[in-house]
Amino acid sequence: MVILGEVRTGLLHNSGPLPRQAVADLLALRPGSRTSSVDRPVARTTSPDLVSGVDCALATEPPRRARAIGTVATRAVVVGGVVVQSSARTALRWVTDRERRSWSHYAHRRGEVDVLGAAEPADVVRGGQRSESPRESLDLGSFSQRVLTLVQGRPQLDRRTALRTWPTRLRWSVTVGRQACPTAHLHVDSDMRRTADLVVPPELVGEALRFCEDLALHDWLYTALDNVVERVERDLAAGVDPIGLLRPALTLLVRLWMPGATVHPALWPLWEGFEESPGFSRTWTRNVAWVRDQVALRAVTAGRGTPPPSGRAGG
Amino acid sequence: MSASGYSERVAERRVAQVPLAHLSVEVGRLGVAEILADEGAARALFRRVAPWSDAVRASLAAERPDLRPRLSTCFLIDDYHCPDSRPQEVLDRLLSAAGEFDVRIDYLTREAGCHEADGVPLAEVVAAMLVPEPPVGTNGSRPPTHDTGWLCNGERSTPDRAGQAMTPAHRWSPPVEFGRRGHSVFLDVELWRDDPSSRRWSAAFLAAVAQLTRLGVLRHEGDPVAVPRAWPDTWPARWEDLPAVVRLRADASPYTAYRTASILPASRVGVEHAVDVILDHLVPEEEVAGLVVERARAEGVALPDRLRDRHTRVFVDGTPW
Repeated sequence: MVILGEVRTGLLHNSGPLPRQAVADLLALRPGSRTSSVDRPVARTTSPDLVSGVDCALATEPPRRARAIGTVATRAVVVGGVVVQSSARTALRWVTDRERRSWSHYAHRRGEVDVLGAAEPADVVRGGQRSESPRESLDLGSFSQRVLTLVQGRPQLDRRTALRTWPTRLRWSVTVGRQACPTAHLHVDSDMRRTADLVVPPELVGEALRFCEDLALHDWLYTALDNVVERVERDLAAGVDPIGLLRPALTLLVRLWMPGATVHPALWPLWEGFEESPGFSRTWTRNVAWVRDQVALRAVTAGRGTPPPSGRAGG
Repeated sequence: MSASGYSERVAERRVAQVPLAHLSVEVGRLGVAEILADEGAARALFRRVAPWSDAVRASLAAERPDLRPRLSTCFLIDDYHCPDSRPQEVLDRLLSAAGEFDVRIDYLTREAGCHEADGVPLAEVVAAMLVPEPPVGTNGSRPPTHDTGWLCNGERSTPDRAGQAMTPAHRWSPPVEFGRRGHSVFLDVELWRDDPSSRRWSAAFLAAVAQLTRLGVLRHEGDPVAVPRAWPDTWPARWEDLPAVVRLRADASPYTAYRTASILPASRVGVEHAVDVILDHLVPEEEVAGLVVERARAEGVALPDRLRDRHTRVFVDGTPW
């Protein structure tokens, strides 16, 4: 079995962290269904799944016939009242059908599609890594984006943000493998796009979605803070006071960094691998320290009328 | 594995259980207007329903002689399209006719209660569970077609359009039923219609809601909905003062059941076909559906996956012999 997904992550369009009850209202996207939430180690609320039907081709490499019929499940997640993620996924099940069946065969299986045709699972995983998918093929990004737009447009938000950031997209695949140890490969395609391919033993398939959402969250935090550092450096060089960037970066982003904290322990080795290369937390910690230094230096030099000296520790 | 553990109350969603009978039998369905218009309508219906009601019981006993069957009966009355009538007159007529032909009615289901029960917008909750059938080629890149209030069991026909200036010509293509056997039986169901002031739900949609509550697969934020309540007093002046489901007999088996049967006038065939199409397009909450399946398994009752397969129907003659 293969699961395909895409997570889009961004800053909630609100001037400050949204209180818990407001987050629950924000994510009540389906009448009658509850949101679910945990408070520790970080507040994390998940919307009920929104389910939509699809009947289309799958991108494959090399190009082969693969028709996916079934449903895509999309959910929104808010972390710390600050970051919003929208996550679309579908599990692929290979069948020998030649034609589409009646809809009840597909409708009650949430987030699952039947795959008809000659393509192998590996062809589909490779197809997902292509930077450009054929126009008519399954487009999980659009499902994800629609839910993100829906949430960001809801009345619980004041649509003012304290920090300018850019959303990121993580496209992922999970393949069920026979080996006991999970593996993951993360590829940064562009400023905003990443691809992750996981292989996990069958019993951990259900945990992979959470892992990918956690990976997307931390990749976004990393990217957002990195971006703050760059802009602060530019401001300093230009003699502009960067406190408008430093303060929200510290108050909104820093406390959310907890790689792997909401992930099943059996998948921690994957995070440990990313900590070695590219070493997410090393760079993050260095950037946080640098941001704090700038705030401290600014306090020391306050009143002297000169901005603090620039220069980012390390490279 | 670590020796310490941590859990949070909020992390676990709780879905309430509901009591479950083996079989819920709907012993007829009439509109308030039909009962009022024709004094004999209820009697004519129950005269025809009575033998089939016995047959449904006998059929369950024949299928499962080992079971001590918990069987309840209900009657769906359409007060949604005739809200200004007086319950007293209608119910007196209905219940005395049922008594005359020994048709036992344990519960009275109000169709308006399928729209809203105890402040819960049941019809909206069910509408949010619908996953409409995607036309071939749906890959997610376009938003789903606008919520029109229509649901079909296949692909709609495309109109014949002669190529006018600047537009390509299209040839008519027929509608197609997905999963057809040979030829299509295509059905397009109107779920609701929006008036300027409110949304009017169709009889088919409300019947589907009733079906879901009877099957015990509907909750509102995990809580039971349309919980039956007794009405000890004389009937109120307005339908809306009655519970969505009125328990008429204290010794009745539970209203909700693993399986359902309906004995209906033949005129309801179309509506029931529509109910099946609606059920085929629903995604019930996994946890809720799972609860029912587990309970059935524990009791040794086989439960089909598809909701429509849990429902049996008997249609009785529409006109007298």
